[in-house]
Amino acid sequence: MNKHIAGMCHLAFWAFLFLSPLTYWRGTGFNFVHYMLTCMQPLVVMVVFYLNYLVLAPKLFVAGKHRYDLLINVVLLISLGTLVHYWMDFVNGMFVPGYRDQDTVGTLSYIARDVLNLAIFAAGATALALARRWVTADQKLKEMEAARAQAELRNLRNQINPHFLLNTLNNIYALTAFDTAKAQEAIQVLSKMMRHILYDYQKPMIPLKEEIDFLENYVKLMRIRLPQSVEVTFNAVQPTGTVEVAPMILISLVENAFKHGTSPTEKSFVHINISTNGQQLICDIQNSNNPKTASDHSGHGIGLQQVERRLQLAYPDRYTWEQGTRDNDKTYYSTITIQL
Amino acid sequence: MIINCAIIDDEPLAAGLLKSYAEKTPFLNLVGTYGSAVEAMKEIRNNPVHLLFLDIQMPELSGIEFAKILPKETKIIFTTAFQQYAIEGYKVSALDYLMKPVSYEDFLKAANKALDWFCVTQKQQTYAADRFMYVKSDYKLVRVALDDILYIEGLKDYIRIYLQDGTKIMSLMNMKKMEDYLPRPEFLRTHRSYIVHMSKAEAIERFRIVFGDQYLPISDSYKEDVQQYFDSHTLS
Repeated sequence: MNKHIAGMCHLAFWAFLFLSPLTYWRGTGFNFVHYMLTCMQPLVVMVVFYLNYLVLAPKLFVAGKHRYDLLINVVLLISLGTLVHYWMDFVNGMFVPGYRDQDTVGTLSYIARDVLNLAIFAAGATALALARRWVTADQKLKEMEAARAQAELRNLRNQINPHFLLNTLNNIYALTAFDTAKAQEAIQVLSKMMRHILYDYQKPMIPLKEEIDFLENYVKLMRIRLPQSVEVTFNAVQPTGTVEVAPMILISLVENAFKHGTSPTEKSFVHINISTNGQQLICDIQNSNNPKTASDHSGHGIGLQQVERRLQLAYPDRYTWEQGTRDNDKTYYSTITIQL
Repeated sequence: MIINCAIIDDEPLAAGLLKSYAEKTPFLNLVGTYGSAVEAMKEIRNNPVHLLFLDIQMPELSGIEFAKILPKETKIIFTTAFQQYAIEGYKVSALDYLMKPVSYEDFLKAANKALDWFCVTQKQQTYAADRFMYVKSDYKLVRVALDDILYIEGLKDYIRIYLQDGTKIMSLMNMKKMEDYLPRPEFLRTHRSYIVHMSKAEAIERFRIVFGDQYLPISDSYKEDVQQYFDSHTLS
């Protein structure tokens, strides 16, 4: 819509400019060939305008190469201005009777006038290009902010499944009846997780160490809930330096692994490996692949879509994500590699 | 009376807690604890239990689905952490519903409900087999043969039993309880105030049943059962 309006503005402006020679017509009566040749003047203006608007301003001026922009413009304007002046002299001399007899001593000042004319258009084009750029940048910024806010909101609600919280509390309740020490430990782990969700998660980036602790705590609590027949391993190499990551991206994958990877009746496993060398973070998750029953409608890949979206927001073009099954569909794997 | 029960829950701790509750409840005899409905299915099919504490949210086969394929004699008490399943649970006629985390108090309440239900059922079976019951009337227990009853009328807190020989027995009892104790469909509730011994009805007219010079109304809420009974005993 906006594009159309802008296009119309351009069109109207150029129509006006191309018709303008008629308002200061110098010939005796209208001559079409004369008019067409006169149109060289607005044509040159158009070339100068769009050259600045589409090429010079965005490629040079915006990129900080103001001098090159100025230099090219000076050369361009003087040569084109001179060209136009002599062209008009020649054309008018052909068609306007008595033109040659006129006093053309002030040639230099006339040329200067034409060059100045073109310079005004060149400056206008540059200003317009900058304004347009500023508006689109502003829009993009707003969009990004809105997307971020929305993602945050969604994540606050969904990243940690509320069911996880309830189920864990129920299990801890049961645990208090059998093993008080273990129950206390579980409550401590849960409170650490809550702190992470409530405070750390608000930041755009957090130390990788904290994120790994969070995942490990999650795994600990899941371990309590699962029967002994489920094999759970969690290996993470803590980074040596201060490495930061966007929080709460990997948790969805871990959640997923437990949701689909564990079976109360059959032998099953969840293996989580996280490693980093300072530049790269690799999260490798493998779990036994238990096909969902038809009645299990839980999740429709929404969680995974969110992971993808968050990766795109936080690490555009700096991540790879492979997932699928291997060992005759027995194992599901998901590997994310992030360039930190 | 001892009730045989079993527990199904995919989370070992939750199952363990219920197990400890069942073990300390004197009238419950825990037959088995299972980690999934599939695992329980074989055992329970061969060896039906009275009562099942059944978790709803389980992988592979959910509690609701499992409840649908259970024999009718098995009563179910659902356990779940999520309220939204309550409605579904009542659709499969669960006896009760326990929200996790389950306290022993809640557990015992539900178990008592089951005990009441099984006691009533047992009495019903006894009455139906022996063909008589004792009812309290004027500080005595009066023997009433089921075959002698024509119909029973409800009067606020009392009931009045009309017998074939014309005698009437008044007893302090409510209609709901009476209805539960009497075998179905031999005895059917036809109205808020009447339970009818169906095989003794002389005639049936639209909306009423005839006993000699007495006309008993059939109300809308009980119409279906009554209609079904007559349909199954009518030549056409």
